[in-house]
Formats: sequence, structure tokens, C-alpha cells
Amino acid sequence: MPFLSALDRAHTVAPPGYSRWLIPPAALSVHLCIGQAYATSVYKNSLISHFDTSQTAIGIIFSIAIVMLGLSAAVGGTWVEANGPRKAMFVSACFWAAGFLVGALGIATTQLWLVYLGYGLLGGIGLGIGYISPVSTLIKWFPDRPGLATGLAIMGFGGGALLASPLSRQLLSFYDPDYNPANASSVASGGALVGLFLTLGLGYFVIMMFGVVNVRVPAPGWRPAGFDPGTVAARPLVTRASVSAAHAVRTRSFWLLWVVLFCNVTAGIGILEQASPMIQDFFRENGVSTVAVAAAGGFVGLLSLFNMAGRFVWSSTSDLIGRKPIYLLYLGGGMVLYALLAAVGHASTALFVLLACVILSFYGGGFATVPAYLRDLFGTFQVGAIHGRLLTAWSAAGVAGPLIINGFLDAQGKPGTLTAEAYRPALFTMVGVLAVGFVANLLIRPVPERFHEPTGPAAEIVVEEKEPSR
Amino acid sequence: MTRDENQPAVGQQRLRLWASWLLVVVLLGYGVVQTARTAVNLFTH
Repeated sequence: MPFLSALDRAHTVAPPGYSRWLIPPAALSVHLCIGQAYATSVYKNSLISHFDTSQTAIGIIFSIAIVMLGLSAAVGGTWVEANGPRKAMFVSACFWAAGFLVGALGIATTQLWLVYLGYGLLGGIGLGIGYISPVSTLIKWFPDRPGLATGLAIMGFGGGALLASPLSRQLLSFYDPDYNPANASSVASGGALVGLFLTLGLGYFVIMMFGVVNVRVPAPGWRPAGFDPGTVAARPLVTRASVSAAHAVRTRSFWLLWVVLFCNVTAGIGILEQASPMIQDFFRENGVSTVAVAAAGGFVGLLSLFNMAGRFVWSSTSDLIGRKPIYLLYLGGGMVLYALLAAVGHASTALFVLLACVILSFYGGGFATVPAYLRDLFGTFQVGAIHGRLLTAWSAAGVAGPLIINGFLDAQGKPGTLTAEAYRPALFTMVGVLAVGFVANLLIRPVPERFHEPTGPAAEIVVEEKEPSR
Repeated sequence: MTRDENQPAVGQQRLRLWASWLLVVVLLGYGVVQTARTAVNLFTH
């Protein structure tokens, strides 16, 4: 069929003069949609009420989606590389939208297993494929600024949650006028949830199609005007060789970077998971928190903004100072900030908020910089597939981070009675986790030559852009 | 596809650039503004 063949990599090679600045919005239109995954808490209580079930039973929906994200990114990475970004984005959009539609069917028929199958399994596959689909393409279009390019896209994932949370609240209010989003105990009806899932599924499909239509891969050998690969390759750790995904996972550097990402994400999740109760517990006098519930909600919003901004700002900065130094900042700086949070965070609300915001910006930066780090170490050949395999660290950290923080807090007392002191063991443990990541980052070395792909004469063909790159 | 079909017209490409950046700016802007309004509660409550 002509439409399906238009999705092939061969038909997505950019013609001469194609603006590379069309690629970041194409990537953003996918990431802004799949970032919804971090806004599921908005309708969690409504789902609990509709299915008359436990928090855990509903929480499993999100857990399945995140596990499927890691698995599909790891397993599907090579397929994405072989078939190109357009087909990958289209498949992602189909799975993501189908996840919402099957989920809506599950809500309408009160069959929770259909929501697991829909949003969890199908949606999770859409998440994983969609997350990695534009990364390799962006790196190839922006060999001079890979951190900026991937930072833009992955910032979209953080932005997706910012977009979906208020949008979901407004849609639920629209479909169920009795629902009051300002009241924490108010729940939306099943009909409103069905309407929300259908609207999001169809709306996201349309937005993701913008990405499908606009994305292109650069012609082989293309490079931006005035760009000399020698200037980048001259930096420490940056290779001009190519390493396949199969070889990459056999290198020490891949697993050290896996540990780096795992530690950075584990530490960040420690704060994200507990943000709202944490600020209330830190400032408690005579058993009563001096921080209002609305203010705690504001704190969570502020953290989300810093998480998103950190993805773009720090990842772009890594183009200037290098990937290894920026991770030394994320991990080393994070250690200092976590230690300060534990030791003096309770001294003032402003200090607490400042420390937590910078920590969360490092958390976002860690996600956004890792594709460029992989490019430096393994080249562009199969960087998307390698990135997919590395994202299993995210899935593992998604389990480890909450386990660490909740395990310590459960031992300290009941929710609503904790104080700043109760958080110290968990926070100092995070300092230790970051120290492990810091050492792992220091140990990362260039990939030995035996893992490099043999270079052919085709690799020498260079097509330099005539016009200044837009 | 032939080369002519592939060659993007300058005007059409500019329109695409505007439309796609406008879409992401509107979506992201909506999220940022709404979240910033929530974040203000931290300083007013």
C-alpha cells in the first residue's frame, strides 16, 4: 500500500535543503503526547472509585506501562533503527492511541483487565517505541549539538505531564459537571473517564501524526554547513567509530553508564515520589505541618517545571563542557545537595525548595543527556537501539527508588506523623547511591577498537549542506 | 519518488516550520502556564 511504503526509512530520506529545525518539533509532538504517562495520578482516585478497588490494583496500570516502556525500548530498539523514525512514530501512535481506546472500553464495561491490557500493555509499548523513535534521528541531524537536540525532545516528555494534568482535570469537569478538581475527595464518573480516555487517545493520535509527517532522516553523509566532525571527535571520549547495539552491551562502558543512569534516576525518584508529603513533614510543629496542602501541590508543580527545564538547559550545556563533566555535576552536585537537604533542609522553606528544585533539574538533565553520551561513546550507527537497551536502567530505578524511600519511611512511623529527621536515613542513602554513580561515571573509558564496526568506503562520502543550517 | 517531488518548496517548508513549532509552543505553553499557576500556591499559601 502506498501509505505504508511512505513510512519506510527509504522514503523518509530528506531532500536537499530540508530544514533540520523541522525535526525537533516532530520529536516533541511525540514526546509531549507520551509524557502523559506521568499524569495518571489526576484520575487515579476516580478509577479506584469506579472499579471499587484498591490503590494497588489501579497503581498496577502505571507499573505495567513503565515496565513495557523499558522492555519495548530494549527489544524494539534495533527494529526502530532498521525501519526509521517515521514508521516507529506511526507504530507508537497506533499503540498509544489503541491503549487509550481499549482502556476506555475496559472502563465502560468495568473490566479492569482491559485497562491493564490497553493502557498498560499496548500503551506501554507505544511509550517505549515513541520514546526512542526520534533520538537517533535528532543526533544525526545535529552532530554539532546533540545535547541540545535530544534535550529538546526529552524535555517534551517532561512537558507532556505538565500538559496532561490540567487538561485531564478540565476534560473530566467537562464530561462530569459534578466533578470538582479543586476538591481532593471529588471523583469523576465512569462516563467522564471513558470520555477522557477517548478524547486523549484520539487527540494524541492526531498530534503524533504531525511528527510522522514531518520527520526525515538526513541523506547518508549529510552534515550541517561549516561543521567539521574533527572538532567534536577531538574531545575526550568522543568516537568517530561505529559500535553496534549487540557489541555495545558487551562493553564495560555501557554497563557503567547503565549504573550512572540508574543511580541518577533512583535518587531523583526519591524526591519526586514523596514531594508533597515531604515538604509538609519537613516543616511540622507540634504534629501540625506549617505547609498547607495547596502549597505542597504548588511545590510539586515547581519541581515539574525544574525537571522539564533541566532536561533542556543541562543537556544543552553538555555540548559545551562535555558529557562526563556534566554527569560529575549531576552526581557530585546531587550528593552535596542531598546531604544539605538532610542536614539543614528543615531550616527554611526557601532553602528546602531551592535544594529540591536543583536536584530535580539534575534528574531531568540525566535523562536528556544520556543519548548524547551514548553517541560520544558508540557513534551514531545504532545509537537509538543502544539507548533503548539502556532505558532498562529507568525501569529498574522506577522500582528501586520508591522501595528505598518508602522502606525507610515505613520504618520511621506513619504518614502524617513524620518529621525532617525521619527522612535523614533515606536521604543519606541517596547520597550513597549517587556516590556509586559518580564513581561509575569516572570509570567510563572509550570503547576498545575490537568492538568497532569495520568502516567501508561509503563512510567517506560527505554531503555538506550548501546553505547555512537553519 | 523523484527528486522534484522531494524538493521542498521554500514557502511550503516555512509554513511547515511555523505550524509545527506553533503546535508545540501552544501545547507546552499551556502546560507550563497551568503548572506555574499551581506553583504560585507555594508562595501564597
